[in-house]
Amino acid sequence: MKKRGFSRQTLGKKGAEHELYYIIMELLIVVLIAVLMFGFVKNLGTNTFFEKLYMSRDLALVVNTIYAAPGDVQYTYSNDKVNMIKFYFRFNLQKATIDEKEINKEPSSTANYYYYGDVYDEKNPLSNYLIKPKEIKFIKTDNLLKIGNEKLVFKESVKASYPEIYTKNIEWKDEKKIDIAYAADSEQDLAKGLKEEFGESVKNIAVIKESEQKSGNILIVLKVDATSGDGVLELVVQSDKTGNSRNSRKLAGLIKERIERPCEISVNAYINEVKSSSLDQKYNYDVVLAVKLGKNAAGSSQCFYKAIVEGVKNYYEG
Amino acid sequence: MKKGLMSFNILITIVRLIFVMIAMAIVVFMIMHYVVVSIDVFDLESNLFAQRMIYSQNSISYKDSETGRLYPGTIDLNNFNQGTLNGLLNRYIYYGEGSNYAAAKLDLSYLNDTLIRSAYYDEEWFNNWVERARVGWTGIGQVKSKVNEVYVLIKDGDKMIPGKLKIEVLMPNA
Repeated sequence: MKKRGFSRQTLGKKGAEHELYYIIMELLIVVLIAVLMFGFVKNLGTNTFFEKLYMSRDLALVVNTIYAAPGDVQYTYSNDKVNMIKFYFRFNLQKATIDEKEINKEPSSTANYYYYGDVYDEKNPLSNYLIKPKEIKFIKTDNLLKIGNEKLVFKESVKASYPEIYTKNIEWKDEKKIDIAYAADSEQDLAKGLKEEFGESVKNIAVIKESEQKSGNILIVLKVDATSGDGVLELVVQSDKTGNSRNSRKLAGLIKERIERPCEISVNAYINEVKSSSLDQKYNYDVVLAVKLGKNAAGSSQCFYKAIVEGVKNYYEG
Repeated sequence: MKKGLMSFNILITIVRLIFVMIAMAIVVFMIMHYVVVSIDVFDLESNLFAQRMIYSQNSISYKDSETGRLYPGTIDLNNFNQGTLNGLLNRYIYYGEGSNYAAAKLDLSYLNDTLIRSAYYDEEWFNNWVERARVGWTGIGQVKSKVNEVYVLIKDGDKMIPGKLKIEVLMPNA
Protein backbone atom coordinates (compact mmCIF):
# COMPACT_ATOMS: atom_id res chain seq x y z
CA MET A 1 0.00 0.00 0.00
CA LYS A 2 1.24 3.41 -0.84
CA LYS A 3 2.28 5.43 2.21
CA ARG A 4 0.20 8.54 2.66
CA GLY A 5 1.33 11.87 4.09
CA PHE A 6 4.23 14.15 3.41
CA SER A 7 6.28 13.30 6.52
CA ARG A 8 5.98 9.56 6.12
CA GLN A 9 7.34 9.89 2.64
CA THR A 10 10.18 12.16 3.66
CA LEU A 11 11.00 11.27 7.25
CA GLY A 12 10.09 7.65 7.72
CA LYS A 13 8.74 6.11 10.96
CA LYS A 14 10.65 8.33 13.40
CA GLY A 15 9.60 11.41 11.50
CA ALA A 16 5.97 10.31 11.70
CA GLU A 17 6.24 10.15 15.50
CA HIS A 18 7.57 13.70 15.53
CA GLU A 19 4.66 14.79 13.40
CA LEU A 20 2.26 13.26 15.91
CA TYR A 21 3.83 15.33 18.69
CA TYR A 22 3.44 18.47 16.61
CA ILE A 23 -0.21 17.73 15.98
CA ILE A 24 -0.78 17.15 19.70
CA MET A 25 0.98 20.45 20.47
CA GLU A 26 -1.22 22.28 17.95
CA LEU A 27 -4.32 20.73 19.42
CA LEU A 28 -3.23 21.80 22.92
CA ILE A 29 -2.77 25.40 21.75
CA VAL A 30 -6.20 25.37 20.11
CA VAL A 31 -7.87 23.89 23.20
CA LEU A 32 -6.08 26.34 25.52
CA ILE A 33 -7.16 29.39 23.53
CA ALA A 34 -10.70 28.04 23.14
CA VAL A 35 -10.99 27.49 26.92
CA LEU A 36 -9.64 30.99 27.63
CA MET A 37 -12.06 32.60 25.17
CA PHE A 38 -15.05 30.65 26.48
CA GLY A 39 -14.06 31.64 30.02
CA PHE A 40 -13.74 35.28 28.98
CA VAL A 41 -17.15 35.40 27.29
CA LYS A 42 -18.84 33.52 30.14
CA ASN A 43 -17.28 35.91 32.65
CA LEU A 44 -18.62 38.89 30.73
CA GLY A 45 -22.09 37.42 30.88
CA THR A 46 -22.08 36.72 34.59
CA ASN A 47 -20.05 39.45 36.30
CA THR A 48 -21.16 43.02 36.70
CA PHE A 49 -18.09 44.91 35.58
CA PHE A 50 -19.62 46.02 32.32
CA GLU A 51 -22.72 47.27 34.14
CA LYS A 52 -20.55 49.22 36.57
CA LEU A 53 -18.47 50.61 33.72
CA TYR A 54 -21.57 51.71 31.87
CA MET A 55 -23.24 53.28 34.89
CA SER A 56 -20.11 55.12 36.03
CA ARG A 57 -19.89 56.81 32.63
CA ASP A 58 -23.60 57.44 32.49
CA LEU A 59 -23.68 59.05 35.93
CA ALA A 60 -20.52 61.08 35.32
CA LEU A 61 -22.13 62.48 32.18
CA VAL A 62 -25.33 63.24 34.11
CA VAL A 63 -23.26 65.27 36.58
CA ASN A 64 -21.51 67.07 33.71
CA THR A 65 -24.85 67.87 32.10
CA ILE A 66 -26.32 69.21 35.32
CA TYR A 67 -23.31 71.44 35.89
CA ALA A 68 -23.57 72.65 32.30
CA ALA A 69 -27.19 73.75 32.76
CA PRO A 70 -27.50 77.53 33.12
CA GLY A 71 -29.81 77.51 36.14
CA ASP A 72 -30.86 75.42 39.11
CA VAL A 73 -31.70 71.81 38.29
CA GLN A 74 -33.43 68.89 39.95
CA TYR A 75 -33.03 65.51 38.28
CA THR A 76 -33.95 61.97 39.23
CA TYR A 77 -31.77 59.24 37.75
CA SER A 78 -33.13 55.74 37.35
CA ASN A 79 -32.03 52.99 35.00
CA ASP A 80 -34.23 50.28 33.53
CA LYS A 81 -31.27 48.48 31.93
CA VAL A 82 -29.37 47.84 35.14
CA ASN A 83 -30.65 46.76 38.52
CA MET A 84 -29.31 49.64 40.59
CA ILE A 85 -30.10 48.13 43.98
CA LYS A 86 -27.19 45.71 43.54
CA PHE A 87 -24.64 48.50 43.80
CA TYR A 88 -22.99 51.04 46.05
CA PHE A 89 -22.42 54.49 44.56
CA ARG A 90 -20.03 57.17 45.63
CA PHE A 91 -19.61 60.65 44.18
CA ASN A 92 -16.58 62.48 45.43
CA LEU A 93 -13.27 63.92 44.27
CA GLN A 94 -14.83 64.47 40.84
CA LYS A 95 -15.35 60.75 40.32
CA ALA A 96 -18.41 58.55 40.08
CA THR A 97 -17.44 55.23 41.67
CA ILE A 98 -19.60 52.10 41.58
CA ASP A 99 -19.22 48.70 43.19
CA GLU A 100 -21.42 45.85 44.33
CA LYS A 101 -19.50 45.70 47.61
CA GLU A 102 -18.87 48.44 50.12
CA ILE A 103 -16.45 50.81 48.41
CA ASN A 104 -12.95 50.81 49.91
CA LYS A 105 -13.93 48.24 52.56
CA GLU A 106 -13.81 44.99 50.63
CA PRO A 107 -11.45 44.25 47.76
CA SER A 108 -13.33 44.12 44.49
CA SER A 109 -13.38 45.61 41.03
CA THR A 110 -14.80 49.10 41.17
CA ALA A 111 -15.58 51.13 38.09
CA ASN A 112 -15.15 54.87 38.14
CA TYR A 113 -15.22 57.79 35.77
CA TYR A 114 -14.30 61.44 36.09
CA TYR A 115 -16.71 64.33 35.95
CA TYR A 116 -16.05 68.01 36.41
CA GLY A 117 -17.52 69.72 39.40
CA ASP A 118 -17.30 72.51 41.83
CA VAL A 119 -14.12 72.55 43.86
CA TYR A 120 -16.21 72.20 47.01
CA ASP A 121 -17.09 68.65 46.08
CA GLU A 122 -13.96 67.82 47.98
CA LYS A 123 -15.33 69.26 51.20
CA ASN A 124 -17.84 66.49 51.73
CA PRO A 125 -16.18 63.23 50.69
CA LEU A 126 -18.70 60.97 52.39
CA SER A 127 -21.88 62.94 51.91
CA ASN A 128 -22.55 61.46 48.49
CA TYR A 129 -22.24 57.79 49.37
CA LEU A 130 -25.37 55.89 48.38
CA ILE A 131 -26.09 52.33 49.40
CA LYS A 132 -28.13 50.29 46.92
CA PRO A 133 -30.47 53.08 45.85
CA LYS A 134 -33.46 52.54 43.59
CA GLU A 135 -32.86 55.94 42.07
CA ILE A 136 -30.46 58.82 42.55
CA LYS A 137 -31.54 62.41 43.02
CA PHE A 138 -29.46 65.34 41.85
CA ILE A 139 -30.17 68.91 42.82
CA LYS A 140 -28.13 71.93 41.83
CA THR A 141 -28.63 75.28 43.49
CA ASP A 142 -26.21 78.18 43.35
CA ASN A 143 -23.89 76.02 41.24
CA LEU A 144 -23.51 73.59 44.13
CA LEU A 145 -24.60 70.06 43.38
CA LYS A 146 -26.02 67.71 45.98
CA ILE A 147 -26.61 64.04 45.31
CA GLY A 148 -28.72 61.76 47.44
CA ASN A 149 -32.05 60.15 48.15
CA GLU A 150 -35.61 61.43 48.29
CA LYS A 151 -35.23 62.98 51.72
CA LEU A 152 -32.36 65.15 50.56
CA VAL A 153 -34.29 66.35 47.55
CA PHE A 154 -37.36 67.25 49.55
CA LYS A 155 -35.26 69.21 52.01
CA GLU A 156 -33.30 70.96 49.28
CA SER A 157 -36.21 71.71 47.00
CA VAL A 158 -37.83 73.77 49.74
CA LYS A 159 -34.69 75.83 50.02
CA ALA A 160 -34.15 76.09 46.30
CA SER A 161 -37.15 78.33 45.77
CA TYR A 162 -36.12 81.63 47.19
CA PRO A 163 -39.07 83.72 48.31
CA GLU A 164 -39.87 87.09 46.85
CA ILE A 165 -39.24 89.75 49.43
CA TYR A 166 -41.15 92.99 49.00
CA THR A 167 -39.32 95.46 51.14
CA LYS A 168 -39.04 98.56 48.98
CA ASN A 169 -37.22 101.00 51.16
CA ILE A 170 -34.86 103.57 49.70
CA GLU A 171 -33.76 104.76 53.13
CA TRP A 172 -32.63 101.30 54.05
CA LYS A 173 -29.68 102.45 56.14
CA ASP A 174 -31.83 104.71 58.29
CA GLU A 175 -33.95 101.78 59.29
CA LYS A 176 -30.95 100.30 61.08
CA LYS A 177 -32.54 96.91 61.03
CA ILE A 178 -29.18 95.26 61.01
CA ASP A 179 -26.67 94.07 63.55
CA ILE A 180 -23.19 93.06 62.55
CA ALA A 181 -21.19 91.24 65.15
CA TYR A 182 -17.55 90.34 65.56
CA ALA A 183 -15.71 88.64 68.35
CA ALA A 184 -12.07 87.91 67.62
CA ASP A 185 -9.29 90.39 66.88
CA SER A 186 -8.84 88.83 63.46
CA GLU A 187 -12.26 90.12 62.47
CA GLN A 188 -11.54 93.70 63.49
CA ASP A 189 -10.25 94.85 60.09
CA LEU A 190 -13.39 93.75 58.39
CA ALA A 191 -15.54 95.25 61.08
CA LYS A 192 -13.78 98.63 60.67
CA GLY A 193 -14.77 98.84 57.03
CA LEU A 194 -18.34 97.94 57.83
CA LYS A 195 -18.52 100.50 60.61
CA GLU A 196 -18.08 103.28 58.06
CA GLU A 197 -21.22 102.10 56.35
CA PHE A 198 -23.33 100.78 59.16
CA GLY A 199 -22.07 102.91 62.05
CA GLU A 200 -23.08 101.73 65.48
CA SER A 201 -24.79 98.65 64.08
CA VAL A 202 -21.40 96.95 64.09
CA LYS A 203 -20.72 95.71 67.58
CA ASN A 204 -18.93 93.12 69.55
CA ILE A 205 -20.94 89.95 69.68
CA ALA A 206 -21.26 90.14 73.44
CA VAL A 207 -23.13 93.45 73.16
CA ILE A 208 -25.39 92.14 70.42
CA LYS A 209 -26.38 89.17 72.48
CA GLU A 210 -28.03 91.43 75.01
CA SER A 211 -29.79 93.67 72.53
CA GLU A 212 -30.90 91.22 69.89
CA GLN A 213 -33.64 89.68 71.98
CA LYS A 214 -35.51 92.97 71.98
CA SER A 215 -35.00 93.94 68.35
CA GLY A 216 -36.15 92.28 65.17
CA ASN A 217 -33.02 93.07 63.25
CA ILE A 218 -31.07 91.22 60.61
CA LEU A 219 -28.02 89.70 62.17
CA ILE A 220 -24.72 89.12 60.40
CA VAL A 221 -21.94 87.55 62.41
CA LEU A 222 -18.41 87.73 61.10
CA LYS A 223 -16.43 84.74 62.17
CA VAL A 224 -12.90 83.79 61.21
CA ASP A 225 -12.16 80.12 61.41
CA ALA A 226 -9.01 80.12 63.50
CA THR A 227 -8.64 76.36 63.54
CA SER A 228 -8.09 75.88 59.82
CA GLY A 229 -5.55 78.68 59.60
CA ASP A 230 -6.13 79.12 55.87
CA GLY A 231 -8.11 82.29 56.06
CA VAL A 232 -11.60 80.89 55.86
CA LEU A 233 -14.08 83.45 56.96
CA GLU A 234 -17.61 82.54 57.85
CA LEU A 235 -20.34 85.06 57.41
CA VAL A 236 -23.34 83.91 59.35
CA VAL A 237 -26.50 85.50 58.08
CA GLN A 238 -29.83 85.48 59.80
CA SER A 239 -32.40 87.70 58.23
CA ASP A 240 -34.77 87.81 61.17
CA LYS A 241 -35.05 86.27 64.58
CA THR A 242 -37.81 83.87 63.69
CA GLY A 243 -35.48 81.30 62.22
CA ASN A 244 -36.82 81.82 58.73
CA SER A 245 -34.22 80.03 56.66
CA ARG A 246 -35.70 81.24 53.37
CA ASN A 247 -35.00 84.85 54.19
CA SER A 248 -31.56 83.93 55.48
CA ARG A 249 -30.73 82.13 52.26
CA LYS A 250 -32.04 85.02 50.21
CA LEU A 251 -29.76 87.44 52.00
CA ALA A 252 -26.83 85.03 51.88
CA GLY A 253 -27.41 84.55 48.15
CA LEU A 254 -27.45 88.28 47.49
CA ILE A 255 -24.19 88.80 49.36
CA LYS A 256 -22.58 85.78 47.73
CA GLU A 257 -23.44 87.06 44.26
CA ARG A 258 -21.68 90.32 45.05
CA ILE A 259 -18.60 88.64 46.44
CA GLU A 260 -17.96 86.31 43.54
CA ARG A 261 -17.65 88.67 40.59
CA PRO A 262 -16.31 92.03 41.73
CA CYS A 263 -13.71 90.64 44.12
CA GLU A 264 -11.16 89.40 41.63
CA ILE A 265 -9.06 87.72 44.25
CA SER A 266 -8.97 84.15 45.43
CA VAL A 267 -12.41 84.41 46.96
CA ASN A 268 -14.61 81.35 46.84
CA ALA A 269 -18.01 81.72 48.43
CA TYR A 270 -20.57 79.04 49.08
CA ILE A 271 -23.66 78.79 51.18
CA ASN A 272 -23.81 76.07 53.74
CA GLU A 273 -25.84 75.16 56.76
CA VAL A 274 -24.63 75.25 60.33
CA LYS A 275 -26.23 73.97 63.47
CA SER A 276 -27.68 76.68 65.66
CA SER A 277 -25.47 75.48 68.48
CA SER A 278 -22.22 76.02 66.59
CA LEU A 279 -21.99 79.66 67.64
CA ASP A 280 -24.55 80.39 70.26
CA GLN A 281 -27.63 78.59 71.47
CA LYS A 282 -29.64 81.80 71.61
CA TYR A 283 -29.48 82.34 67.87
CA ASN A 284 -31.04 80.24 65.23
CA TYR A 285 -28.16 80.45 62.80
CA ASP A 286 -29.30 78.41 59.90
CA VAL A 287 -27.33 79.71 56.94
CA VAL A 288 -23.65 80.29 56.64
CA LEU A 289 -21.94 81.98 53.77
CA ALA A 290 -18.42 80.67 53.94
CA VAL A 291 -15.87 82.74 52.11
CA LYS A 292 -12.44 81.38 51.45
CA LEU A 293 -10.08 84.31 51.36
CA GLY A 294 -6.84 82.44 50.90
CA LYS A 295 -3.56 84.29 51.16
CA ASN A 296 -5.09 87.57 50.03
CA ALA A 297 -7.27 87.81 53.11
CA ALA A 298 -5.82 91.11 54.26
CA GLY A 299 -6.36 92.87 50.96
CA SER A 300 -9.82 91.52 50.39
CA SER A 301 -11.67 92.99 53.33
CA GLN A 302 -12.51 96.21 51.48
CA CYS A 303 -14.12 94.32 48.65
CA PHE A 304 -15.79 91.93 51.04
CA TYR A 305 -17.50 94.59 53.13
CA LYS A 306 -18.75 96.35 50.01
CA ALA A 307 -20.35 93.08 48.99
CA ILE A 308 -22.09 92.86 52.36
CA VAL A 309 -23.31 96.44 52.09
CA GLU A 310 -24.62 95.95 48.56
CA GLY A 311 -26.22 92.63 49.46
CA VAL A 312 -28.06 94.05 52.45
CA LYS A 313 -29.11 97.07 50.43
CA ASN A 314 -30.49 94.86 47.70
CA TYR A 315 -32.26 92.70 50.26
CA TYR A 316 -34.13 95.72 51.58
CA GLU A 317 -34.85 97.27 48.23
CA GLY A 318 -36.30 94.10 46.85
CA MET B 1 17.98 11.30 9.40
CA LYS B 2 19.70 13.46 6.90
CA LYS B 3 20.61 16.96 8.11
CA GLY B 4 18.93 18.58 5.15
CA LEU B 5 15.68 16.74 5.71
CA MET B 6 15.69 17.61 9.42
CA SER B 7 16.10 21.33 8.67
CA PHE B 8 13.31 21.09 6.13
CA ASN B 9 11.03 19.42 8.68
CA ILE B 10 11.69 22.17 11.28
CA LEU B 11 10.94 24.79 8.65
CA ILE B 12 7.63 23.14 7.81
CA THR B 13 6.76 22.91 11.52
CA ILE B 14 7.39 26.64 11.99
CA VAL B 15 5.15 27.42 9.02
CA ARG B 16 2.43 25.17 10.47
CA LEU B 17 2.66 26.84 13.88
CA ILE B 18 2.45 30.29 12.30
CA PHE B 19 -0.62 29.15 10.40
CA VAL B 20 -2.25 27.84 13.60
CA MET B 21 -1.48 31.14 15.37
CA ILE B 22 -3.01 33.17 12.52
CA ALA B 23 -6.11 30.98 12.55
CA MET B 24 -6.50 31.40 16.33
CA ALA B 25 -5.90 35.14 16.13
CA ILE B 26 -8.72 35.39 13.59
CA VAL B 27 -11.04 33.44 15.91
CA VAL B 28 -10.10 35.64 18.90
CA PHE B 29 -10.53 38.80 16.82
CA MET B 30 -13.98 37.69 15.67
CA ILE B 31 -15.10 36.94 19.22
CA MET B 32 -13.73 40.25 20.53
CA HIS B 33 -15.35 42.09 17.65
CA TYR B 34 -18.79 40.90 18.71
CA VAL B 35 -18.25 41.46 22.44
CA VAL B 36 -18.33 45.14 23.42
CA VAL B 37 -16.34 45.78 26.57
CA SER B 38 -15.39 49.42 26.17
CA ILE B 39 -17.66 52.43 26.15
CA ASP B 40 -16.41 55.47 24.30
CA VAL B 41 -18.16 58.64 25.42
CA PHE B 42 -15.58 61.12 24.13
CA ASP B 43 -17.87 62.83 21.60
CA LEU B 44 -20.62 63.41 24.15
CA GLU B 45 -18.20 64.39 26.87
CA SER B 46 -16.37 66.93 24.73
CA ASN B 47 -19.68 68.45 23.57
CA LEU B 48 -20.82 68.78 27.17
CA PHE B 49 -17.51 70.34 28.08
CA ALA B 50 -17.91 72.96 25.35
CA GLN B 51 -21.52 73.63 26.31
CA ARG B 52 -20.53 74.03 29.95
CA MET B 53 -18.31 76.91 28.85
CA ILE B 54 -20.84 78.58 26.61
CA TYR B 55 -24.15 78.15 28.37
CA SER B 56 -23.61 77.99 32.10
CA GLN B 57 -22.97 80.40 34.92
CA ASN B 58 -19.58 81.59 36.12
CA SER B 59 -18.19 81.31 32.63
CA ILE B 60 -17.81 83.53 29.57
CA SER B 61 -21.52 84.15 28.98
CA TYR B 62 -23.10 87.47 29.85
CA LYS B 63 -25.00 87.63 33.13
CA ASP B 64 -27.15 90.58 34.11
CA SER B 65 -25.90 91.52 37.56
CA GLU B 66 -29.18 93.23 38.46
CA THR B 67 -31.58 90.43 37.63
CA GLY B 68 -29.13 87.55 37.93
CA ARG B 69 -30.29 86.30 34.54
CA LEU B 70 -27.79 84.51 32.36
CA TYR B 71 -27.86 84.98 28.58
CA PRO B 72 -26.61 81.67 27.13
CA GLY B 73 -24.69 82.11 23.92
CA THR B 74 -24.04 85.80 24.51
CA ILE B 75 -20.35 86.19 25.22
CA ASP B 76 -19.39 89.02 27.53
CA LEU B 77 -16.14 90.38 26.11
CA ASN B 78 -15.12 91.48 29.61
CA ASN B 79 -15.41 87.87 30.77
CA PHE B 80 -13.65 86.36 27.77
CA ASN B 81 -10.15 86.37 29.14
CA GLN B 82 -7.55 84.03 30.58
CA GLY B 83 -8.54 85.01 34.12
CA THR B 84 -12.08 83.69 33.67
CA LEU B 85 -10.82 80.44 32.15
CA ASN B 86 -8.30 80.02 34.96
CA GLY B 87 -11.25 80.41 37.34
CA LEU B 88 -13.05 77.61 35.49
CA LEU B 89 -9.98 75.40 35.70
CA ASN B 90 -9.43 76.00 39.40
CA ARG B 91 -13.00 75.88 40.54
CA TYR B 92 -16.01 75.53 38.30
CA ILE B 93 -14.80 73.00 35.75
CA TYR B 94 -12.62 71.28 38.24
CA TYR B 95 -11.44 67.70 37.73
CA GLY B 96 -9.50 67.47 40.98
CA GLU B 97 -6.19 68.64 42.34
CA GLY B 98 -3.41 68.40 39.77
CA SER B 99 -5.53 66.46 37.30
CA ASN B 100 -5.01 66.84 33.58
CA TYR B 101 -8.21 65.41 32.24
CA ALA B 102 -9.07 67.94 29.55
CA ALA B 103 -7.75 71.04 27.87
CA ALA B 104 -9.30 73.48 25.44
CA LYS B 105 -8.59 76.48 23.30
CA LEU B 106 -11.29 79.08 22.69
CA ASP B 107 -11.07 81.41 19.70
CA LEU B 108 -13.56 84.25 19.59
CA SER B 109 -13.86 85.92 16.22
CA TYR B 110 -16.13 88.16 14.17
CA LEU B 111 -18.25 86.67 11.40
CA ASN B 112 -15.57 87.59 8.84
CA ASP B 113 -13.15 85.33 10.78
CA THR B 114 -11.12 88.18 12.25
CA LEU B 115 -9.84 86.84 15.52
CA ILE B 116 -10.76 88.95 18.54
CA ARG B 117 -9.15 86.97 21.31
CA SER B 118 -8.02 83.48 22.27
CA ALA B 119 -8.02 81.93 25.70
CA TYR B 120 -7.12 78.53 27.08
CA TYR B 121 -8.54 76.13 29.58
CA ASP B 122 -5.33 74.60 30.93
CA GLU B 123 -2.93 76.12 28.43
CA GLU B 124 0.05 74.03 29.57
CA TRP B 125 -1.62 70.69 28.80
CA PHE B 126 -3.24 72.00 25.64
CA ASN B 127 0.20 72.79 24.26
CA ASN B 128 1.51 69.41 25.44
CA TRP B 129 -1.29 67.51 23.72
CA VAL B 130 -2.12 69.48 20.61
CA GLU B 131 0.50 67.97 18.31
CA ARG B 132 -0.35 64.42 19.41
CA ALA B 133 -4.04 65.11 18.85
CA ARG B 134 -3.41 66.35 15.31
CA VAL B 135 -1.65 63.13 14.37
CA GLY B 136 -5.10 61.59 14.43
CA TRP B 137 -4.33 58.38 16.30
CA THR B 138 -7.02 57.69 18.87
CA GLY B 139 -5.90 54.49 20.61
CA ILE B 140 -4.98 54.01 24.25
CA GLY B 141 -2.45 56.61 25.36
CA GLN B 142 -3.27 58.97 22.49
CA VAL B 143 -5.13 62.26 22.65
CA LYS B 144 -8.55 62.82 21.11
CA SER B 145 -9.62 66.14 19.72
CA LYS B 146 -12.95 67.70 18.85
CA VAL B 147 -13.71 71.13 17.46
CA ASN B 148 -17.03 72.83 18.18
CA GLU B 149 -17.88 76.03 16.37
CA VAL B 150 -20.98 78.00 17.34
CA TYR B 151 -22.45 81.33 16.35
CA VAL B 152 -22.66 83.71 19.30
CA LEU B 153 -23.47 87.28 20.17
CA ILE B 154 -20.55 89.26 21.52
CA LYS B 155 -21.40 91.88 24.12
CA ASP B 156 -18.82 94.63 23.90
CA GLY B 157 -19.94 97.37 26.29
CA ASP B 158 -23.43 98.30 25.15
CA LYS B 159 -22.93 96.87 21.65
CA MET B 160 -24.04 93.41 20.55
CA ILE B 161 -21.96 92.04 17.67
CA PRO B 162 -22.54 88.72 15.89
CA GLY B 163 -19.53 86.44 16.02
CA LYS B 164 -18.20 82.92 16.16
CA LEU B 165 -16.71 80.91 18.95
CA LYS B 166 -14.46 77.97 18.15
CA ILE B 167 -13.72 75.57 20.98
CA GLU B 168 -11.12 72.86 20.44
CA VAL B 169 -11.37 70.28 23.21
CA LEU B 170 -8.56 67.79 23.84
CA MET B 171 -8.88 64.76 26.08
CA PRO B 172 -6.38 61.94 26.55
CA ASN B 173 -7.58 58.41 25.87
CA ALA B 174 -6.32 56.89 29.12
